[in-house]
Amino acid sequence: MNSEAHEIILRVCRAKDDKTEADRLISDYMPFIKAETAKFLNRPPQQSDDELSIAMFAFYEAIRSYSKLRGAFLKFAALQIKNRLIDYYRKEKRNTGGISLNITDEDEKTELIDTISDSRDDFSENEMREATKQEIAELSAQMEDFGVSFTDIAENSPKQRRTLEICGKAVRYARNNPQLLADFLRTKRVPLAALAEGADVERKTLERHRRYLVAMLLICTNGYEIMRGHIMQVLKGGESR
Amino acid sequence: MKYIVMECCKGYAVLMDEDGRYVFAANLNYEVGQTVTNPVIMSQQHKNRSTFIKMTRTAIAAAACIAVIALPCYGYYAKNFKTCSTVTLASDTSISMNLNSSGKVISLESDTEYGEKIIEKVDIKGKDKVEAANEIVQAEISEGYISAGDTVDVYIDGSNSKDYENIKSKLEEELPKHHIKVNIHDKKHPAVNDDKVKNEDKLPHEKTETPAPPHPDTEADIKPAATKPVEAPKPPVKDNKPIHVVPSEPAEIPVPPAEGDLPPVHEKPIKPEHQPPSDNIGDKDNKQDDKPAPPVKENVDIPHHEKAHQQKNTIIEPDIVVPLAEHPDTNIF
Repeated sequence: MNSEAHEIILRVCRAKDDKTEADRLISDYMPFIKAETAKFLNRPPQQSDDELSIAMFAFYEAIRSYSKLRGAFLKFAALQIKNRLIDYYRKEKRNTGGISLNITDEDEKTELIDTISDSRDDFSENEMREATKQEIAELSAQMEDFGVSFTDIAENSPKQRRTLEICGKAVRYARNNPQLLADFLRTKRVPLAALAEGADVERKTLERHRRYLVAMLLICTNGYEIMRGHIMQVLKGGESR
Repeated sequence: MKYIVMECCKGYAVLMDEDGRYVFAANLNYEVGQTVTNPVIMSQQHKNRSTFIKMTRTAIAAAACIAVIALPCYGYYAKNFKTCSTVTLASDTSISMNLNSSGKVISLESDTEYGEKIIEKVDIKGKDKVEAANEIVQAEISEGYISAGDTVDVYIDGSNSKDYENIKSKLEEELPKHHIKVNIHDKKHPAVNDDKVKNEDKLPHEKTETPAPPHPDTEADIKPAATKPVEAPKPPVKDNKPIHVVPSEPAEIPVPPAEGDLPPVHEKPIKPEHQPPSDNIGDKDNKQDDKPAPPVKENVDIPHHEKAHQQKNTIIEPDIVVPLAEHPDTNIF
């Protein structure tokens, strides 16, 4: 094994736990990612192409799931990119067969998209997006005090439906007990014992998802109306579709 | 399902769905705060798949190891230490030999003290069944439990008919060398064999199952006998005519004895040898006094002990003692 391959493996191992290192690795290997995408598209990819985004995401997946037993990293990453792009095309293929909105009418020479009335209000939508962005920024800043990021939460988020329901039960109990949330903000510690006892759930399950609970309990505090509205089903105890 | 974009990085974006679940997804030029509906979510199978594969491989390897070790062990055990058939020498000692599938003796058992003594004397574990049987018989002869000319019953409990035949043929060859008779039985079908043995032991005229004639000891027994018995003994004559038994000597009508000559009450009266001929034999209407006659056999070669038995039976029957019928003490019977 030459030194270059050895260096890549070391960087991959570091990027597994470090978000900035992962971003840097992706930036450094962008030509490789574009080359693999071009092999699939039979043309050089544009920066705005979804295929390139998918390829970058596949590269990140390869970083996270790589181990030395899987052989050379770049070959493994190339295979991941190819598989992801194939999956994406299969998914998109289901939507083909419809009429494109950009088809022009022969007589009037207008596009089909112009004939459809648009009920969306772009202005209010942008306003809503800005407000959401602001809330997320506030939440992210508050989460930093607790030493967690969204990437950590995504890694620590419950995967199984049963675990998600247990965590939801604990969050609902905390929401119904404002004193518990106040203590949580004051001490910056998740009251696992009180949540487990009050919600009648396993404390061990809550411990495994402590960082996820931090984000959810913060959303339950004042100031995050939009995000509370988004996960209203969870907070009310129901289930979304 | 709607997702809110929470964080955007170079290679991925973090989204939050309506169930409160945070996921990694491809960053398709998203912006933070944007609501998306159809993202490309990172598959969560990588870690699970590798763990599952590892666990499956371990389980398969463990199962294979157990199978590799256990199967030959069981085969060895089944061949050498598992009782396949049992041979019981049913003499006074009643010794049972437990044999494995190759016919070697695994263990010896006995319910009797004599048997235990013999087992202590002989050392035949691991020896062939015939050799072991020879040694046991030899030991029994030397101890005096069996002598020449005796019959030894041998019961074979084989796992299948082949075993039974194999053991039977070999023992039938070998054991008679000790000047003893051998009766070999299959223990799995004792009923059939017992019937055979019983029939073999019986005399030829006893093999047919003839019901015993009714034995009118009491009056209560007489009455039901008057009704048509299902298997009542029938006279050997085919037509339904009444039987006229001609006695060899003219019948003597017994004279009623005087009161002084009467036997004591507790003594049984002596019946004359031959019953006087009666016209009512076989007549079912006269049931009060006429009892069903026992089957009369004429010109049949009856063995001596049978004759004696019949005579004895005839003597104790009170119903045919004519002279005492009118005696006031007759009702004592």
